[in-house]
Amino acid sequence: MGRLFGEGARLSRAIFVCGRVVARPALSLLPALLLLSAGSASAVQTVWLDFITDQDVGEHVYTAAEQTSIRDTITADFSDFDFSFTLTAPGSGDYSTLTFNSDFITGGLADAVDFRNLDHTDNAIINVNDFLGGFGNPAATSANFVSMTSTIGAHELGHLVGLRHLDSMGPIGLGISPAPGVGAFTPAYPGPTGADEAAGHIMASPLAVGSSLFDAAGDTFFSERSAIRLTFNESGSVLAEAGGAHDTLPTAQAITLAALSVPNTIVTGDNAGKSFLVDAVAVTGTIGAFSEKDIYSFSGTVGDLMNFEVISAALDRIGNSIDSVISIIDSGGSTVAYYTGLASNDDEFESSDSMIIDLTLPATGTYYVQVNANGITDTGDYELFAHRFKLVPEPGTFGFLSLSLLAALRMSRSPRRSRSRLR
Amino acid sequence: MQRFASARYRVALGIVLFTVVQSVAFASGARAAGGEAISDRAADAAERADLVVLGRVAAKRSYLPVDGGFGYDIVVSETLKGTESGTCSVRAGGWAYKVDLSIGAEVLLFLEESDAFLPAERFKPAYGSERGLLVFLVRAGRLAAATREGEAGWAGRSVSEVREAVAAAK
Repeated sequence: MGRLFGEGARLSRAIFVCGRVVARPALSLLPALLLLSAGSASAVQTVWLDFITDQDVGEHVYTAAEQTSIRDTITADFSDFDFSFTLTAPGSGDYSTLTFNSDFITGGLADAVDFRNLDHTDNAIINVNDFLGGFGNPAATSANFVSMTSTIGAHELGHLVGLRHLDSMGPIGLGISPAPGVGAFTPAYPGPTGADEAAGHIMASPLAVGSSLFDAAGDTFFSERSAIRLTFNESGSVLAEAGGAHDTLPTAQAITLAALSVPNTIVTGDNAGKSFLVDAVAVTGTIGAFSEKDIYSFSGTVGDLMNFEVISAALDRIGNSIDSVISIIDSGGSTVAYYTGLASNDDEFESSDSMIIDLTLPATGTYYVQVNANGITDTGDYELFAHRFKLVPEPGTFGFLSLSLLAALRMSRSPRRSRSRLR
Repeated sequence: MQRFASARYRVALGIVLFTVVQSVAFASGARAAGGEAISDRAADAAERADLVVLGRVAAKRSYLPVDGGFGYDIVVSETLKGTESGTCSVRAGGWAYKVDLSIGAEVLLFLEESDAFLPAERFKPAYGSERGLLVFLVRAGRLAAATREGEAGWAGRSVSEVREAVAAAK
């Protein structure tokens, strides 16, 4: 499939104050040194919830109590991560802005999908007015304005810090949700469509995964996949592609998936209350020559549940993106079996980026991730993201104390709270 | 078991909702065809639109990962209202729905000027009197639905009928 995700996707970096356009500083590309350093940018992400700028006649006027409730709900959604929310414009420092009641769009729209959240100044707009009231919609009650605005606000902020619609699909291990369907991938996704908890997760949308407006007005929360990515933003291991060719199995660049302490954000569902064991890594790389392929090696254990993703077309900071293809290869040089097909993907369901979703390793040993461009003349930059996910086993007669200790060390900064308890 | 029961419930609910929506759409279409004349609705839509054009989709950009729908470049073959000629850029779709047009498709669009948030596309689809999008495919001189969110009751009407109504509304 050709590259569709075009330039010019970013929202104008301008805010409108009393009819005037006040330019905000444009983001320059971050220094290459930062991109290529180990470890992700880690700083508190400040977010201004702007209910003032775009308020027009005929739109819902959020009361002070509603604004406070929305702030508290979104704060609770992100409570396991380093975020700070304010209802007044910050006087200084970097911050992102969620502008509510923007009359441009119905629903929401984000500046970018900023994997690893390297830009702390991007923006999103939200407007739920057309989604409440009227035939077939949730009622236009104050409670629904609060809950739906909170969901879509958290959703768009999720994009601004790197989350994708794929991240709504859960539980991990059950493949994708019935919508968008296996045929939306190229080639068709060969795995199960059992991720039936997607609709209750913040990164779901009606268009992406078939959730409803009633879902958005409900008690939504972040999925396991979202929690992994949000944690990775703060403490993930980021490697640079090594210089020199690594286009064969013997010359593959070795990468190590590092342990990540991922909190459980699940309020209801199969994995609620459980503890996660996650290892992850990101690699920044370049397809620099025609027909180049980059090969990375990692050690796996039989039964490991793996996810891989090449992010390029959907990553706004990459000016020269590629239409990537990803393949997972075993030590014998064969593409690994992947449900009813093979572990290779050209396009995920929304862009020309590629993904391997919920691959279970068939044996213990060395595996290889191959990244190449779909077209032989296609060159450009990409970021590879890989993670291994496991639930902490239920404690038996032996090991309760050690598992408890492990869980305490690796997860959870605070217990989950249902949104409904906030209202 | 609970998972399957939940799935069955959702399927059943989906069928019921689909039936209801189809019934409403049919009733709405029938009313448009038999009650309020389509020419009146076209005239009303034209009065509120900034631009009404016939044209062909020449380029397509996806903003799906950020909930932004698709952007289109439309090569205008006829301007029914407004002064735009040549190529106009349109952003359609978003968080909850999409308007998925193929390159080369012939379209009739009622458009509003967008604001400064999206500099890549100057226009967005206008809404009809029943809050449906005024975006239509044109096949053999007649309108066809381009999206499930399109205004009901226009499919099958002729372009010439709409052209006359728009002209009368000027």
